Amino acid sequence: MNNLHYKRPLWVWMAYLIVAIFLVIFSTFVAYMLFGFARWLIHLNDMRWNVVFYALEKSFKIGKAPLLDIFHIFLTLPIFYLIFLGIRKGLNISNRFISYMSICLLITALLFNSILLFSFLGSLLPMVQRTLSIAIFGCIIGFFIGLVIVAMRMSLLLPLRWLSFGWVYVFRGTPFILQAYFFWNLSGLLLSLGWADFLGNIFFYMSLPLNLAIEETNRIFIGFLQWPLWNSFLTIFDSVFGSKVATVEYVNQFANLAERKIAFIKQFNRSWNSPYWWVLIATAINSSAYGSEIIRGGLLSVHHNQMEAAKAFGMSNSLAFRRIRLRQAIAQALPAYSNEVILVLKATVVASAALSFVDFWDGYTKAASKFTMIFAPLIVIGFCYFITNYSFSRLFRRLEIKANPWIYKNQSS
Amino acid sequence: MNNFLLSFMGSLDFIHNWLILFRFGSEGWGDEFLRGALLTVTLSFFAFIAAIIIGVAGATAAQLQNKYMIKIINIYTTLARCLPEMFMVLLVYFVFLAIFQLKPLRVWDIDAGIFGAPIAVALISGAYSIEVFRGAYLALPKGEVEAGYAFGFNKEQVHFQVILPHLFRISLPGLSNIWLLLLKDVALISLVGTRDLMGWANVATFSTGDLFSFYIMAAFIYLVITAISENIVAKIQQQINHNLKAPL
Repeated sequence: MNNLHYKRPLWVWMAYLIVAIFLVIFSTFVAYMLFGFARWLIHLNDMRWNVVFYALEKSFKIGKAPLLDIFHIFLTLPIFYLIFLGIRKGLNISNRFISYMSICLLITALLFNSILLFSFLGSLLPMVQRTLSIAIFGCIIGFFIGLVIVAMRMSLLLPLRWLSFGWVYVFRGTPFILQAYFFWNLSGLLLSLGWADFLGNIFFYMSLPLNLAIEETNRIFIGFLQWPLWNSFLTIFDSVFGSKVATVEYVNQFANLAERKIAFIKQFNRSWNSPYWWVLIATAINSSAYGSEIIRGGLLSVHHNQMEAAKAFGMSNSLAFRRIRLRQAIAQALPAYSNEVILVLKATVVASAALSFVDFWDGYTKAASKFTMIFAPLIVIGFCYFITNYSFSRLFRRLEIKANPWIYKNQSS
Repeated sequence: MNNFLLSFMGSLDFIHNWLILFRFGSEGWGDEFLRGALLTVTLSFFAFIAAIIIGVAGATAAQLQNKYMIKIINIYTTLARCLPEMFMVLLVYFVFLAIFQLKPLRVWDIDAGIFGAPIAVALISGAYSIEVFRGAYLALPKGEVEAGYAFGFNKEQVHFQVILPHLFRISLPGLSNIWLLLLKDVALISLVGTRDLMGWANVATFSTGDLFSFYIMAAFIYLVITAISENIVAKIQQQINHNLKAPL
């Protein structure tokens, strides 16, 4: 190709811009990292130099962090765009879809930044984080529990079949709100029985080596963790480990093991009692009941002659099941499963209205009570949910086309 | 043997104690739960009828091949499937709350939750039933429609006497699914203070501090309603498909 006559398309210029912005951000990242590493080195040798570096760090950080805090949503947008461009080839995503997603993100960011200026809904990210992590982790855990239930349902032992049938019947036959209340009350029961301290003790000793290793790494990479833009990247990670990892105080907090253990059990009780985990459990179990039926339908839809053919080709029983039956069953069940994911996303609203945990819906109730407005925040929240659910349905549509290309061969998406 | 019998009697005692909570009258929660269950069934019945009307109307309108009509129906179904049920319930509830505050209407003293819930739920499950009826239209036996015209029926006669019965026969499994989903969506109005089955379970739990009894009873009643409606659907299916070789 002749480079002289090559006219760069718009997205290439966009990519250059993005790379430039990224380099600027990355330079701050490197600076934070270097400062942290230098401080650690000097901590090993001479504590006096710490003061100098502390002053240097202060002078570097002043004025930057709040600015980044306001614009961090905008700064993540080009990165999203890059990611979409990157996975374009793999998932065969069209340009239209990329621009659609970017516009969605932009509108959401704009909406929420203008709202943020009114101190309206706090921040978008914790809500997105909570909603998506409940939906995604709930669906994944539910899928695996559902596989177990399908295995029980199709086993030859009668009690196992009864058990799985009862499980599916009960959790499909009762409303999700009832299940959410039930599991939330279960936490109260377990607390009153004193199981929480018992479990906390066990988890403390189980997690001790890992925690020590994490803290040592924290000491080394303290600058790495103090980079302010982590707030905008660590969304799902944050919900699992908590944001407390990144502070200096946390690292040098505990003197001895007993104190540490008490603090751990306190923290464990607090986190264990938060509605988040119980909503996650309720979601996973509810999704397992619906999902197992979908998977079972998919497995039954594969003709038994195919398994015979696979065995005739010399495949073992499990290999034939994995490569022939499960593969086709998943392709068959994908449309129904996408509906299930969206149902789970919608169920998080119910859970967060019943028990209060940080969610789009929590943002709605806060805004409605603060400004005594009903309809405007409701419409905003509805818009957010619509974007999330519609994006999920589009994504699953792509996956369907990828899984069953022969069906969609002659159709335009 | 005596020991075994006693332990068995003990478990019966446990169940008896549990059932005592649900005596009728002022000393138990039985009549409240029954009233709640009746309210739930009534509301979901009205919502179901509205959903069927929306579904038939929408699918028939989509059948007319009008470009704009199809676009409108697509937008409606997408919106109703992507928005959470809770959103719809609260939106309709607040709208009715605002309407019933108007002066000429205030004398009626209508509960906005009870009035709005069937409409909100019908708006959601109407979208699902549109999809079900669209599928049913595709599965219509074409020969019978043509036979209808051959017998000299006009368009309306064919629609009401040939197409619609077939449509309901084909879409019955899908409609039963929608009924079961809808029954569980109606439970959401307990969050705006209406005392359906779920609402009474909440009130009982919060006032007695008994964490599980009432929720388990509510779950049991929901399962009974589900089982009864599944039985009825099976009966109807038998009735409808008795002249066919294999049920469709």
